[in-house]
Amino acid sequence: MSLPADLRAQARLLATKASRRPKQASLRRSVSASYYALFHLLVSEATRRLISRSDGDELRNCLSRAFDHATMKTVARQFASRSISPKLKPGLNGQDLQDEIVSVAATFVDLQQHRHEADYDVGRVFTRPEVLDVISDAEVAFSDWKAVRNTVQGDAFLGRVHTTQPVFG
Amino acid sequence: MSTDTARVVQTQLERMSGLPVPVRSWDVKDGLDATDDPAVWVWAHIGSEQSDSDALRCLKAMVRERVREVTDGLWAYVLIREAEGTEGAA
Repeated sequence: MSLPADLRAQARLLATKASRRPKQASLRRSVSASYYALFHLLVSEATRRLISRSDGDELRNCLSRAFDHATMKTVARQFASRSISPKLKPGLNGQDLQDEIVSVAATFVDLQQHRHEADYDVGRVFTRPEVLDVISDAEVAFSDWKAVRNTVQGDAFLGRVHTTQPVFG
Repeated sequence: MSTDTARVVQTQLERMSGLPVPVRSWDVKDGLDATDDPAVWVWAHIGSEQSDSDALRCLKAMVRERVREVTDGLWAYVLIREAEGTEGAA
């Protein structure tokens, strides 16, 4: 399986392996894995668009390290709020954003924050139902992404998230 | 960000009707998120029998939109918790 798929599976395993009272460490790592599953899915999709040649794995790996979490969140929040830059709008051929790309973007914003709390906020207590809900959101984001990955909106989102300078405001 | 933000949001959420999932109570706090953006955290406490994931996603989207409207654009991190009998974690 791919890294994003492996991380998805790991997230669910960590949250469900204990029959009762899961460890906070397991729930926290589950939340983190959910975020990184979606992060690596989007980064992989973006680098494949940038470097399409079959012998480009090394270059894609190099490029994947250049993605910035905060920039990706900023872009995702714009898409999630349907408030993308006027400079980018003409590139969408006059179409409103599809619900699926809005959903993927919103989930990315949420997961990034949940991941931060899971990794750094030691006072935060996670419950299994709460974490299973986070996992479910990540899984839906994967399926929503499939619906838009070959659309101009998917290209616009990926094109924007890898741009570290605010070209489109 | 106003110190009243959480209270205002809570009041507005309690007035919401037509939710896809019945919400028994709300907890709201405001603060700065991981990238130092002002944001709101909303915990929606629901009954343990409410597990329709599509309905929960719809609820989150509605809450996110409502918070954006009443706070001039703040992002809402919406979390679902069971109102009672929530499974504790070790």
